Amino acid sequence: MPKTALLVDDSFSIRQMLSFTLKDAGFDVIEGANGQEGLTAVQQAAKLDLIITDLNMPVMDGITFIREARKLPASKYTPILMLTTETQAEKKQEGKAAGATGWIVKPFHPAKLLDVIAKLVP
Amino acid sequence: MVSRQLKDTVGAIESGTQAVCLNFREMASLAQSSATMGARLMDADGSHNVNEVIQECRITMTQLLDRLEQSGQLYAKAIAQMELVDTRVQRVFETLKQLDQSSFASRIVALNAKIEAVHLGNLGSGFEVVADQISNQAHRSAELTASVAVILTDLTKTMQTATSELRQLADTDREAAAHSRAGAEAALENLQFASSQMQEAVAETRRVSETLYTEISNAVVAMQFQDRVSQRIGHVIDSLEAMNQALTSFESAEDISPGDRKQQIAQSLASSYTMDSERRAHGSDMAAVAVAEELAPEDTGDVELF
Repeated sequence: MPKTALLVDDSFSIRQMLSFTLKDAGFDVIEGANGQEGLTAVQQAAKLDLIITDLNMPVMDGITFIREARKLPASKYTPILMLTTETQAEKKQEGKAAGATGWIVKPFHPAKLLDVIAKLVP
Repeated sequence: MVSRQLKDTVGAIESGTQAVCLNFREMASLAQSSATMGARLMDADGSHNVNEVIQECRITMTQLLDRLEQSGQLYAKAIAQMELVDTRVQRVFETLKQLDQSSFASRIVALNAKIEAVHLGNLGSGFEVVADQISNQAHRSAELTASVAVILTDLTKTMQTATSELRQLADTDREAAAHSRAGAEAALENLQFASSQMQEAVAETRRVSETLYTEISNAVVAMQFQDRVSQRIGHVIDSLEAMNQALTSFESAEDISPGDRKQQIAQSLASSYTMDSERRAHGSDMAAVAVAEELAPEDTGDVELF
């Protein structure tokens, strides 16, 4: 059974690149353009194996999204990777406190990203 | 107005990047399909490949030709046996000839005995009867010998015809086998050569496809500049709007000094930055910030798992 990944980013091109990378790795992919859309997708999903989210997004940012997603049964224990241009230690700490599983600085390299995902979603 | 222009520019970059992304996806899919097909043909999945099929053909053809040669050897043995039978039949002919000579001698003896019996008159009448008997037996023996000779002659002719046909068949088969072996070997060699060339071509295609896939992956990394550029332009737009507000404030409020206002705006901008490069550029001479630093930032792709 294929694994399902949720991609949350306000940039369509980044979602496309992520989607392209994950689909090649065998994932089914669903998308959201901001944290609010991400939460809606989580509520509608039967099962999520992975979530990748941007930090700075309109409507709802990535930190808030993670904090809210951790309250929902479908994503309570799902690995959540923050994919962002942000490198500040304080922001990383904030993400970790919200419930992020890992922090990846953009731009991502597909092979490197898949290596990380393989560790989190065996 | 400048903000709107910049927003339009961001939108145009986003649209262009989307189109390129979709093209990359298509190219990568094609490259991957090509590599997968190549791998399948090169027996990456463990099924029979071309080399194995050629090897199996070679074994099968060799076995067939070996059997053909074995048949030829059997023909030769049969021919030798038939020739041996013919030789023995010739000996039987010689024996029959001797028998015929013996019968002839018996007939001469019987005739002489009959002549002597006549010379003796009544006393020789018993010899005459015996001489007739011997003559009849010799005559009968000559008839039987002639009859056997006819049968043996027919048999010999039939056997010689069969031997000749068998030899002809064996010769034809031997020539055909030799010709087939040479033809099959040449065909298999050609097939092997074509196969190795095809495999090299497939391997090269596979290498090219994999390289293409890697290059596309690298391009995917490079294309993410759009996200960073969009963010930075977004922050420039924020800066412009903040300056616009500041200029408007200056017209109405006199309670904040220009220096304080400048510092407020600078702090507000600094807090909106999301990239180290922006923070480093903040307050510096922009011309001094290397463009290359933005294109290849040192922290990109860093992964930290909590």
